[in-house]
Amino acid sequence: MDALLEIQKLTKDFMLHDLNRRISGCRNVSLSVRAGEFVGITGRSGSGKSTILRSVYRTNLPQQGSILYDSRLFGVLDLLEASERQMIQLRRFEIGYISQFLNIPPRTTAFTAVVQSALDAFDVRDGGQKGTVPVSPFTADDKMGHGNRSLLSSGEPRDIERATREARRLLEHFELAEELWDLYPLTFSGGEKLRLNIAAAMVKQPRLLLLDEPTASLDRDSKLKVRTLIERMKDQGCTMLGIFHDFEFMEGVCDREFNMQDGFIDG
Amino acid sequence: MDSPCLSVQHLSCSFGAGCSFCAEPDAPLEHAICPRCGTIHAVRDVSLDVYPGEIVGIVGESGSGKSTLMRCICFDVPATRGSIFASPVENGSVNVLDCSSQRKRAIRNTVFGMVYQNPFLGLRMDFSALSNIAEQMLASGVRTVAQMSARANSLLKQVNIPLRRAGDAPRLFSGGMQQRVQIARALSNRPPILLLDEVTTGLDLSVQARVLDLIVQLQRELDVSMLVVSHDLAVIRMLAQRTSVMLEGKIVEQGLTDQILEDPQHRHTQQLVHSLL
Repeated sequence: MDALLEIQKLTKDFMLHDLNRRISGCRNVSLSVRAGEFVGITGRSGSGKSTILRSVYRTNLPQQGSILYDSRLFGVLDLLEASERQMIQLRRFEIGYISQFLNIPPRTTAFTAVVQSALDAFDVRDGGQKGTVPVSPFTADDKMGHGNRSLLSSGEPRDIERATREARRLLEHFELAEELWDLYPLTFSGGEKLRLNIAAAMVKQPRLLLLDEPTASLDRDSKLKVRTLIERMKDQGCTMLGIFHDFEFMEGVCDREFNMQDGFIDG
Repeated sequence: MDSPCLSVQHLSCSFGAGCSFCAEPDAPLEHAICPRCGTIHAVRDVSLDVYPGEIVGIVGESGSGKSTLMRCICFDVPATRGSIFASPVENGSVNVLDCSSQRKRAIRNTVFGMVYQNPFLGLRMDFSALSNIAEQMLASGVRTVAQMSARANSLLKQVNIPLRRAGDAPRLFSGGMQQRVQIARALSNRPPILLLDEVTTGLDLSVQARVLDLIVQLQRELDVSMLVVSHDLAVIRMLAQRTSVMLEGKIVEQGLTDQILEDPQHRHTQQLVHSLL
C-alpha cells in the first residue's frame, strides 16, 4: 500500500428513526494520506468534514466505502471491517484523536492524565513483538516531582518513572504552564485544554493523528500557537489528517488540502 | 488477539412453560411476554464476550433483561438455554452452566464477584460489615481469622469505610456505604470477573464519583474484567470501551461505546441517547 490511509468512496447517512429522516453526512468521498503528510479538509459547518474523521476513528459507522489503513499491529486493514477489539487496540497504540473538547477521565489531574496515556501505550512499544520501539524525539529531562498517582495503573516502577519523564517533556514541549499540571483540567481555558489534549495524544507517539477542528474556539493568538504546535508534531514525523473551517489557518501548514461542500469533496 | 475471559453464548432465560409459538427465536412477543402462553422471556439469545482487563457496558430501559442476564451469569437465576465459558474455569473449555451445583458454588465464590443494584441481595444486613466480608472468604476456603480480618480491614479501607464502622451492621449504613461494603465483599476473593449491576444508581454525585473511581482503579491495578449494567449513559461512557444495548431481552446493538452514544443505529438506542438531559 502506497499511502498510510486510503479512504475510498466513503458514504455516510444518519438515519433518525423516530423523526423518519435521513441526514446526509458525506457522499462518495475518496482521499489518501501518505506517511509523514499533513492533509487538511476545509469546508463550512455541516459540509461533512467531521463525518469523515469520525468514520476513520469508527465513532461513525458509514454505509458504503472503505478506509484502508496500513497498521503496525495488523497490517493493511479496512477500518470499517475491523473488529471492535482491533479498533480499541489501534486507538490505544496507533491512532490519536484530538479535538477542542476534553477527553480525560474526571478527577484526574492534567499531569496524571498524560502519564496514564503514556502507560497505556507502553505495552506494545516495549513488548518487542510488534514493530519497533520508537525513540523519543524529545530531549531528556530527569526532573520529576509532579503526579497524583492515585489513578495510575500498577505498572512497573521503571515504566511509571519513564512515563512520568515523558509526560513532563511533552507538557513542557507543548507549553502547558507548570502551575496547571496538578489541577483538574475541567476549569482550563480552551487553549489550555487543547494543549493538554495534544500532549496526552502525542505522548503515545501515534502513527496517525486526527485533528477535529482543534482551533474552533480559539482567538487569533492561540491559533497561531496551535499552528506552531502542529508544525512541531509534523517535524516529529507524525502523519495527520485535520479538519478546519478557516482557510487561512491551513495555508502553509498543510501539504495538501481538500474542500468539502454538501458532503462532497470539491474538484 | 487474546481470548475472552467471559463468553456468554446464546443465553436465554424465561419464566413459564413456553409454547411452540414462543419457541421460535424471532417470535413476535409483547414486551418480552408470549401472547399465547404468557411466558416471560427475560433474556433471549444473548451472546457477548468480555476480554481480560476489559469493562463492557450493558444499557437498556428498565425491564429489558439486564439484571436477569447478570443473575444468570452468576447462577442466581437458572438459564433456560445457552452456555457460559469463563477462562479461569478449565481454561474456558467447559460450559459452566453444566457444572454440578457444588462446582457452581465454588465458581460463584472464586471466579465471579457480583454487586447487586439492591444491597439487600448482596449483604446480610444484620451482620457486621466485617463479617459480611469474612463470610465470603470462608466460602472460598480461607480459615485463618487473622488472615480474614486483615484482608477485610484492608478492603474496607480501600472502599473508604472508616475502620471504626467495620463492626457495625450494614443496615445502619447509608446507601452509598452499603454499596461500597458490597464491592469490598465481592472483591474479597480477588475474583477475575466482576459483575456490577447498577452500582451507582441512587447514590449522590460525590459518592457515585468515589464508587466510579474505585472501579476504574480496580480495573487498572488488578486487571479485573467487568460487565457493568447501568441505565446511566454517562457512567457507561466513563467506564466501558464496548457497550451492548438491550431491549425486551435481546441485544439490539453492540459496538464501541462512543459509536453507540454518538452514532446510534437502532431506533431504541437512538431513543435512549436522545433522552439524555
